[in-house]
Amino acid sequence: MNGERRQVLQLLADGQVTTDEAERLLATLEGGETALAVQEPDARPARYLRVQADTLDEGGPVKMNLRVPIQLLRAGVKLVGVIPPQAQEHINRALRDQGLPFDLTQIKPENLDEIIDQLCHLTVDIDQAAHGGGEAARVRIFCE
Amino acid sequence: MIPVLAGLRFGAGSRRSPRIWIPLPLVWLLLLPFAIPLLPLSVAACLICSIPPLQALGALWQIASGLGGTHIEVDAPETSILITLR
Repeated sequence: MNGERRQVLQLLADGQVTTDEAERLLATLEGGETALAVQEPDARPARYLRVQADTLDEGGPVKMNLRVPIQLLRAGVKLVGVIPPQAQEHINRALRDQGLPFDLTQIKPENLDEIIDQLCHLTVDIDQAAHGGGEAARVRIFCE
Repeated sequence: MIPVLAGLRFGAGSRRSPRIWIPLPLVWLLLLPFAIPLLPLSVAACLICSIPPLQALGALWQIASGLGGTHIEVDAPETSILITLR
């Protein structure tokens, strides 16, 4: 076992990193140059959330192209902190009724960055061919 | 940075309007006389609703600052909309 691996395991034993973080660190050490090269594109933070949709309905083709700045999403999430607690409870109840068990009170400034970072890794690619009278659709959601 | 230019285009199919560019600082200047008397009312409304006014103002400022780069484009046979903020 080399010194770097031992150091990571020591950090884990001391509780300074979580098991997930330790796993990532070990994977990076094992991957060496390759792992670092793969991580390089992520070094530049994503600035925009893109939604592109092309559908073909009865009236003709419909194209949608949205670009939402990540900074705007960040500001929007921060706005949640301004909502009074009684209103947050009301929103939580409405979300629960819609089948979304999401607690707005859990959104704190300290986990805000984590939420946005996770969103930056999101990629959704849906390609639906038209068949049986249905509509063809292509939807892409990604960050750039 | 707060967007300084808004591009708008509306229409449908071949009847699309040309893209209009609006300098937003001019719009802010036009709205300023309304914003000044509305400010104390907004603060009072925030206090009544137990919303911290400074925090709310900061959040709104961040939203305004984050709007730069927003691009909304919908192109359908019956309608076509383009809103872009720079």
